[in-house]
Amino acid sequence: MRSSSSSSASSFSAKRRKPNPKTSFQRSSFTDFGSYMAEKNRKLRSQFEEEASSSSILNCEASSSGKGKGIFHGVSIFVDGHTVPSSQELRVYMLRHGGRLENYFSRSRVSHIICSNLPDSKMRNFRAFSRGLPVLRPAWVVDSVAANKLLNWSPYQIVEQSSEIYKQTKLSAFLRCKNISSIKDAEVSSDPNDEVDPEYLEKSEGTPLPLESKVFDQPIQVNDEFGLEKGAQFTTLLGEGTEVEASNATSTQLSIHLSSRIDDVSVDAVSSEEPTNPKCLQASDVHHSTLTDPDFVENYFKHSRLHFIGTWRNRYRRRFCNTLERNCSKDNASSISTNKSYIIHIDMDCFFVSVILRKYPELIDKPVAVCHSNNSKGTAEISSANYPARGYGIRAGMFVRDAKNCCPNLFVFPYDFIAYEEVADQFHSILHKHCNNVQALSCDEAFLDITECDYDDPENFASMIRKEIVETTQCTASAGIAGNLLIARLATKIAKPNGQCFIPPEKVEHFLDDLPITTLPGVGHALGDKLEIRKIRTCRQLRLVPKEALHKDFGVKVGDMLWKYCRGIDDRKVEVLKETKSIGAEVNWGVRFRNTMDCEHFLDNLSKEVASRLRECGVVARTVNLKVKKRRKGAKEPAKFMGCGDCENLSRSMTLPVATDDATLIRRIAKQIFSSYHLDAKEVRGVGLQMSRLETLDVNKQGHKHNVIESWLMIPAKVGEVTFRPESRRVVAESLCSSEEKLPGMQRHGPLHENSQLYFDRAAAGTETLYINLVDSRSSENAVSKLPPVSHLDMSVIKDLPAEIISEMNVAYNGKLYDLMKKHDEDQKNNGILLITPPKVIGGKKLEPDATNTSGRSSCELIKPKKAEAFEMMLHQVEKPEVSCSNLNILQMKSTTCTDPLDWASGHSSKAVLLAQNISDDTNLDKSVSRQGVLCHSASVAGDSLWNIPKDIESGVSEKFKNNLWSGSPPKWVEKFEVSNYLILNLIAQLYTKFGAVGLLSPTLQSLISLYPFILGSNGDEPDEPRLYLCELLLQYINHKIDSDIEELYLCCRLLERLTAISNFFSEVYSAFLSRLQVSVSENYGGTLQLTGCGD
Amino acid sequence: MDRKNVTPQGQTARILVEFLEVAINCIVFLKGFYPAGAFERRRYMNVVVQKARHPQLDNYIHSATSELLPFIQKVAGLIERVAVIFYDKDHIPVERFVFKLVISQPYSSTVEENDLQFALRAFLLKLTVSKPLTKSLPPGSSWEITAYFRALPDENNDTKVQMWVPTDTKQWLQPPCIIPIKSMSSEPLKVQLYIEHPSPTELKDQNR
Repeated sequence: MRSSSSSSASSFSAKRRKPNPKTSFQRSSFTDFGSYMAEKNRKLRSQFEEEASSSSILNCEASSSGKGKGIFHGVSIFVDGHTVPSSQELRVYMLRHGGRLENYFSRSRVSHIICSNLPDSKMRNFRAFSRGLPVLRPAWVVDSVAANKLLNWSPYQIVEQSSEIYKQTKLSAFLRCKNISSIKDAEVSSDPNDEVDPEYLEKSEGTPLPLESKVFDQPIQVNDEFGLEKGAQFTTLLGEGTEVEASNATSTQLSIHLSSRIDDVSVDAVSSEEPTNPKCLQASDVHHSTLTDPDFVENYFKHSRLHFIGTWRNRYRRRFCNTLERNCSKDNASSISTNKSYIIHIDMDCFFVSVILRKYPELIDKPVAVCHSNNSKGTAEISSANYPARGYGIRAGMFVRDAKNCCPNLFVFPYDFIAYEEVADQFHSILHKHCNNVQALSCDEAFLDITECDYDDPENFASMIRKEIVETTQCTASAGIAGNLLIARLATKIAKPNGQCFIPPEKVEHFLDDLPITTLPGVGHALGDKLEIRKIRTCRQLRLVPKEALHKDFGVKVGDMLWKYCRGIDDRKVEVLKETKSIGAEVNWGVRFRNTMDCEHFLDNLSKEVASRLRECGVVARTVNLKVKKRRKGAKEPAKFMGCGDCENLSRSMTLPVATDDATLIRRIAKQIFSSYHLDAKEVRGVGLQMSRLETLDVNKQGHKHNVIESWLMIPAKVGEVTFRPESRRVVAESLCSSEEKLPGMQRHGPLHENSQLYFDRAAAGTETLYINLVDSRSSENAVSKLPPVSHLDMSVIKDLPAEIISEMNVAYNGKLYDLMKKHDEDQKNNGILLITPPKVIGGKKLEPDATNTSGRSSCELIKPKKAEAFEMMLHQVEKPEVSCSNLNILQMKSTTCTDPLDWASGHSSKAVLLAQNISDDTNLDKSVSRQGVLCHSASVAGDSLWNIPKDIESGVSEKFKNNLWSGSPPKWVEKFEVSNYLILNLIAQLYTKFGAVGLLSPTLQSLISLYPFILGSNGDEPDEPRLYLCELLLQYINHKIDSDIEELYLCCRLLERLTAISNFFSEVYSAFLSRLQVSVSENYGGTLQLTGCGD
Repeated sequence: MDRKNVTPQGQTARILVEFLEVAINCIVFLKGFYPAGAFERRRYMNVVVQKARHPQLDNYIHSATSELLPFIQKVAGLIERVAVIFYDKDHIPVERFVFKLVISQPYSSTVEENDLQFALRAFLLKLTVSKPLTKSLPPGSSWEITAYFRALPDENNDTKVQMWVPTDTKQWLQPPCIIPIKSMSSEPLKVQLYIEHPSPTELKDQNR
């Protein structure tokens, strides 16, 4: 890459430099840069040839493969960019084996381009870069040298990047793979033999496309060097070409590339090319972290080998369901007669590799590994390596990088899940054919209990099975035969690869004697290290330790296991299928979050994945466990690309009252647990969600599982026949989650809401009576969910509700609510007016400003406060947008026009009183009120005037009311009210004795709000006397409480305000109270009480 | 006699001062004057409260309240109100949280510490939900703790008096709007907490 770009650059710069006489090569006879380069190339070639002749003479015997020519005869490579081995080493290979190495790219002389990596730009303009030459990985050269023959280069190709940017095949690609794979096979077979004849090379090298040559003859001849820009031009020209060109292409690779440009259909062909030629594009593959890929979870599991193995079990279960069940029933009877039983452990040899190698028989002796990525710098882990590769020290779990260091000519292939599935199925069907008692451990591994089978000799039986496996799957398997599972498994290790080992019971002890402890299953690093400290390395040494000591050191369970295993005892039976204990999904790779939002999104997807897995297995689970890997403090970015690195593991679980497989519920719990960790989202490196305590779900009942609660709430009549029994638990579960979600919306059905809350509580208690409750409550639901009649609604409450809820309710009442509210408002208004002018009835909805004025003028002492109240009402209405009477406009107009600078707000009561008098003398009350524009102020003015009234009347009407109504316990007034003739006063006294234990009036008023309509009705014709008594009581209450508890007074004020909505009786009381309260507050606290919503 | 009375009185004063410290912490937190990270969750009287973590802030509140102790304790009732005042950038108050204290002078009845705590607890509970009642602070605001004395304390007598400096805090011209938050009155002690906002006319005056 370096040289090609520099050459193209220099070719341009040369033109610029041409007139400059002072350049270094001016001294020689070159006239321009082109001739200089030609001379240089010639010189380099002669140098190369000299060296080649000397070195090939030296290595004559070694290099010549019988023909006297080097294996690379006719090959001329151009090395682009950094390679492993380096271009110098490749040069030496070329020197020794008859090839050439061109220092500068030339279409006419170079036959192969060698490079390890291609930058993205070149990948995109692949054709411009390659000029139709094969672009190969350096491994081709190395392997050819190793094989001492020129290998077919097609597996080494670096394939052009197409629209398919994944280097890894997706499962979806395999859905259409049948025909493609046939194409591919044809391709491979159509290639000439391993030894490429020079003619073929000549052909592929020298025959570019007809069109291509037409277009490009000129630049090639003239310039000898290719500029990238010209290459780009070339691509566009080709893109406009027709399919004819594609068919003219000589090399398959070329045709594929071409056709991929020309029509979209052949994209498939390119994707089929990918598995054979894994690209090294890790860096450019952007979709590999949670940061960039919204569907990360889905894609992750599509590409995960562990996921494949995990889900394989389910597939297996389904596939072999019938045979398994048959065996289960038989199992009990058979287990008695296990006198001389034999177990075969059978395991495919490097399964993941050998399945791949079925298609590449020529690579069978080469080191091959399976891995996500073939990037020699990559940190993808080798999942499986064949035996030649293991010879180089390559192990599963190694990074590709390290593996490539161990063995530079390692072949790395990506997974081919479809093929694995196919082979695994074949493998297991063979086992099931021969033996009824099969325990599948994994997709490539199983135990066979052959006690029942007809066989003469276990060894023959095993080899028969193995032979059949090889014939059917073209993959080898190894087998261990012994008396129990443990020894059979250990025997397989010895048997590998492709062999079998029989350990009869009498030889077990000898076999175990020198066996290292760590080879025993269940003995890992941790346990091995502990034993190592005690200098126990082999089973023989372990046998010397008494059982008690093992119990003491390792606990009963592990101790027992060690004691038994080192003696070769294993009581486990071949179990046909182990019950699934938990279902979950865990992602520990590529997890990077920017913020909590990302996390939640990820949990979302993970919950969906887990829920779908639960459904697949037809189970529901009760316990949710969330594992989180958190970057350990100070841990660096992990060596493995996007890996989890050094992490702290956090794990918490939560058990639900009822089992579920509902994604939303799982998500909610998961989020809850996640938030309980209090993690920084950036620190999270892995998340695992696992569901345990599984309960099987009756598959037949699944039909009802969705929307049960919805239908329940919306159309209660229709849910006549919800089937209960095992399923009803899930009904409840769903009702729980959805009722929670619905709570805000459900608040308008007060009782309903309570009911669902009830369910929640009961469900939490987990009572079995749930079913009954459900049935019962369903019937009651019908009654309950009916709306209360409109007339029962408390308008003052409704008014305070948020607008959305009001509109929702309005819909529920078919629009009656708005009408009612409007009516209510008007009523209030009219009431006010009626009060102002009792003799005159100003009917109609419009409030005439004139009328108010006149009423104001005709004011007697009594009417004044009422009038003020009316204004207050009006002002109240100003705030309400839905009232649009003309009088409002008038009021507002006044408030803006009025500029009378009457200073009245100092808060001193004397002033206020004075002012009130002013106002009553002057008839422009409305003006002064509207000028304030604030409710509380108008009220205080009105109140001031009112305050005087009761006193006046008091002298005339009620002698018995003296000041100290509130003294004593219970206060004096209670008694007086009780004996009063007025029902309302009796009621208040009764309520007070009931609620007023702490000497507060507010509880009494509160209960009065709910009781008043029932006991007294909305009867506004109460005589004046009780009103005056009540006023007096409240005013004295203010005096009583003002210095200690304005909170209580404030509360009373609010309650009275609500009472005004119920009965006119209280309107007057309220305004009197309010005004007096404001005065008292300003006396004592130097301010006025703010009634919410007015001041801001 | 004298000796007998000191103890419960001192006890009440101590609880009150402690309560004021916690409540002021809560108010400052409530107003969001400092980032939430400057506070930590603590438990006081079995209520979750917020306490300033910054040593200077914590120290200011602590010293201010604890310097009140002698005036509450010895000369009971000398302090009428304790206010936490929030100012805008021109040092004009925008919001005042006022604790109005009434300590009845001669009290013989012994205070039940539990009752008192129970009553004061209600303040803290109410405070934590009072956010909607408050106004948002303008940028460049400041705050301080101010105590209103019924009479000027004798400076010569007590060195601690000097910790308190007379202020000439700007006052509102109009009587403020009051929002009561919580009140309590048990026999020796009456506490009321309310918020004062400038009255709407005041704001108009300012704008003019």
